[in-house]
Amino acid sequence: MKRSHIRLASILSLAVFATVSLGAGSAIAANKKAVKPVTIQFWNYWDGGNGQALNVLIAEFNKKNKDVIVKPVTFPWGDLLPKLQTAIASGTTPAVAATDIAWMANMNQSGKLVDLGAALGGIKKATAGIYPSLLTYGTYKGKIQSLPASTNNLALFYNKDLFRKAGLNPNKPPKTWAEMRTDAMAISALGNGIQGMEIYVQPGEGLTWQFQPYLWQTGAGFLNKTNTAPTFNSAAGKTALQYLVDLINVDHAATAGQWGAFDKGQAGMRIDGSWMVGGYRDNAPFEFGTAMLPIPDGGVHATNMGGEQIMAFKGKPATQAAAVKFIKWFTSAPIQARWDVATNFMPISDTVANSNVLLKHIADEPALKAFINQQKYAYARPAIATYPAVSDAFSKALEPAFYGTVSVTDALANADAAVRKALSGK
Amino acid sequence: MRTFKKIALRLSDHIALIAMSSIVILPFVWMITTSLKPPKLAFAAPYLYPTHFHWQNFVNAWDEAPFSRYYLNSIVVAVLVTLGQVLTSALAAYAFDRYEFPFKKTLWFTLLASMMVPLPLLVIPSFQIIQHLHWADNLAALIIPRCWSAFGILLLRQFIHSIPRDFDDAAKMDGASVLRVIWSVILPLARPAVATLALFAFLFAWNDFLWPLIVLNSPEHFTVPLGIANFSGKYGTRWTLLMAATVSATIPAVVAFLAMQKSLIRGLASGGINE
Amino acid sequence: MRNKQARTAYLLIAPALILFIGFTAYPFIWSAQISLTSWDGLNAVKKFVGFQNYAHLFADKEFKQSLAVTAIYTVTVTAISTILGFLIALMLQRRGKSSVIYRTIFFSPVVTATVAAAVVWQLLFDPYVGVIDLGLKAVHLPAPNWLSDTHWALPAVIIVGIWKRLGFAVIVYAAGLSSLPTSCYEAADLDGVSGWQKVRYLTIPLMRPVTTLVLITGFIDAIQVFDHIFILTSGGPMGSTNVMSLMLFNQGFKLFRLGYASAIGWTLFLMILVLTMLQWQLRRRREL
Repeated sequence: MKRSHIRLASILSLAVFATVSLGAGSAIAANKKAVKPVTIQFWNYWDGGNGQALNVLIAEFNKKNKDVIVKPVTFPWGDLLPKLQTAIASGTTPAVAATDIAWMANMNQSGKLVDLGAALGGIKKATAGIYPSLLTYGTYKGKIQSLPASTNNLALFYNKDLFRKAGLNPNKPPKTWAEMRTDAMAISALGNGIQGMEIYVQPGEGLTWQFQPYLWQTGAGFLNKTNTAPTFNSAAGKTALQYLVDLINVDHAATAGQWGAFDKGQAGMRIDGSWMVGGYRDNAPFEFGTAMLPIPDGGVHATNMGGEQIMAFKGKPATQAAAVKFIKWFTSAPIQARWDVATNFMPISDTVANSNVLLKHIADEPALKAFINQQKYAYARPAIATYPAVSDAFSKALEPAFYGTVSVTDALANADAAVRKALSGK
Repeated sequence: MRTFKKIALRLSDHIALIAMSSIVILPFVWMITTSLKPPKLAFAAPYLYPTHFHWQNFVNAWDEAPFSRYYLNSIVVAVLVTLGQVLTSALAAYAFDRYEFPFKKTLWFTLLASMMVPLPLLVIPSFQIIQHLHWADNLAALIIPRCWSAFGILLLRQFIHSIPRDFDDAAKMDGASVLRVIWSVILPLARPAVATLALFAFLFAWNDFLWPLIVLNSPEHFTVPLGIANFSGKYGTRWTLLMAATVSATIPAVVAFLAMQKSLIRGLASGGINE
Repeated sequence: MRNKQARTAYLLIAPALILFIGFTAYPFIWSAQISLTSWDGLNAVKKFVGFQNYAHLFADKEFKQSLAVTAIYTVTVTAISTILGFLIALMLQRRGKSSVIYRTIFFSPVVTATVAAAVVWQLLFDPYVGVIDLGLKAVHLPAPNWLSDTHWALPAVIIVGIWKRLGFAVIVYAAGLSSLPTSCYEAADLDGVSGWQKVRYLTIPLMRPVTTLVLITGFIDAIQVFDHIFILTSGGPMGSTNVMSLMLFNQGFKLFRLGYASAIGWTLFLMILVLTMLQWQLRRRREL
């Protein structure tokens, strides 16, 4: 009886020991690797073609810099944020990450970001040439905590094949809301469930980000200048929402549903970003064109600004230095120009915009023109920590309006109340 | 007349089975067909039988994601989790059934209640523990925390309860230790319950997504579900590639099941009663 | 002697218990603490707010809808996959070689990574190029816009849930059936009992332990469902597929409301606990 106890205990303790040493062993192995050269992880969500382009650039960096090895790690877009959140909460952040600009306010507050201004020899030197509007996302309490890694905006994509079929001129995309409406109706009249215009109605940042340009075009805006109260619950805001709701429920030129009809050649038009240009050229089963976003009567040009910010996380001095070195290289004009060529993202500075590589690329890819022309009309989403909650509340209140179960007036009033609540942090 | 009825019954069975299995198999057929299409024809008919054989999709998918590596990781994790759950559950279940000890009822109730804890709730605190143990980005974090199972203890305890104590006593008379009794008397007799638990544990570990996603950072540690998830993203989904990846991730698992199913069924079936 | 017994028992339980305490109990209690804060998961400061999160929860319409959706999903997927699994296993019992093929087909979804399967289903449900709607249209049945329709999205994710789950039930039942004593059936045959009566009065009662097993595992799986709904609908349209795990995930990881998310998790836990205990009480009373 006694002996069996001892044996049992020894087996159990052996198991525990094995477990612990397994963990410790790998920790030691990780430390050994870190001695020389410094290996750093770079988290991002650039998948597919973008990811391949990134790998090529990073391979070059690693070859040139013997003291640093950058390992890019790609996660799906929707998963990178939870990953970063857990990493920050438990102190396992990577050395470098590139994240959606919409998350930046939250990243800034984490207290884990490296002051890039100081690390790169002063804010002026760190941000030289970069468009000021792009710097708002990286600026926090007077410090630069991240730099733009790419930027982009939304323009109109249209299916030239469907335009032809509907008897429309495939080289004359709509310029105004009224034209967009008649074109959409002509295309949906083709039948077979084909939509004239595909509208994003699934709640979440997707809906908000797609709808905001309409608000800016009518002058309704989204939040006030100090980002303390919503401004969209106005006559102009109603015009914007009513326009899209009518496209769905009155004109039957669009359907409230899942996103993706345009990709399959089942919708005449859609609003989307410049990164889709390459994908459509290679994969779309139809000929496509792009145009600046149509504007309402008496409205102004406006689009939404997207993109990624690149940042370094606080850590060991050697890791941090390697991270800063990599960020400096990645945001430098020659690399950015090649990055934009490979990904169809927009330039972050005039130097990049006017580089020969990029100018030649744009000449070869006429579909990019609309995006370039529009970049100056790009509005930035509010850079506040409550933005994710605001956007979520806003989109959830608007969703039923697209399905026609709540009136436009009520949806905007609900959204107003919900956004105020989200702004207050409750 | 009777034989006629029997034949009719068999035939209706057959039709029902064919109908149901065609629904079940539909996604696989579609997946394979799409994985063989050139990208521009991803959404063009026909959908259920291949007319193109664009193997380049597979080449590209494997270029981007080393599936053999993902398989290896997934198998290591699933096998170790299965072994761990069976062992710890067997020991605990035996103790709960055969012994009286202080706090037995409280402990039992606590363990059962823990089955109802929603897993996403534990993600952040669990990860902080993993971090303290230096298991972040290590397969150990997928294996060790999962090497126990309240369900497993419940299942095995129920089964062990039906094994007469005479068996233990006989073995103990021969001088066997408690571990020996569990290993060579109880576990073989509890084979069906063990097989059920093993199947459940293996599938859980094999399919798990959220926890590995949070824990793992290096692509060389990724499991199959993580590898797949990276093919659909914000900047457009490349469907034919994604399907090639999915086929690569699925077919070996199905073949493995085909090879093992006889012994699996035998393991799950309680031996002895009808022999 | 008693002392010794207790010591052996604790040593046997120790491995499971240590893992339970370290990786379930401890993080679980920790999450209770988080649920009393307004922590966003990023900020270094965790502000204590008492039971405010719980108070908000009970006024939250989204939470109520999510409860209903989770209940419908769990009950239908568990019930249908169990019943279908039993019937299929019964039919397979009477065949020889071909049952191997059928079993493999039914089991394939179980070994397919849920993430991968969901992606495929997303396109099968597509109103334009989806095989399901093309098929329905071909036979002149109404073809719903599955994942975009508030009435059809939940049935769609339930179908996928059953598809994924069915094979497990089939295999476990098939194994259970193969171990049934043949002698009972022979006796029933002699008495001229019909096929259906044999199932009703012999097979179903004999299979009760297997059914309990399939139901419990099905319930654990279904109430935690996350992966395929996350990919298919992300909870939409209009919250019609917003199950609990998804709401918890979105609140915690998308909206940075980790305190609130933890309150959701705890409330869900307590609700299931109370329900289960009530059920036990009822069963015990019936058995008396």
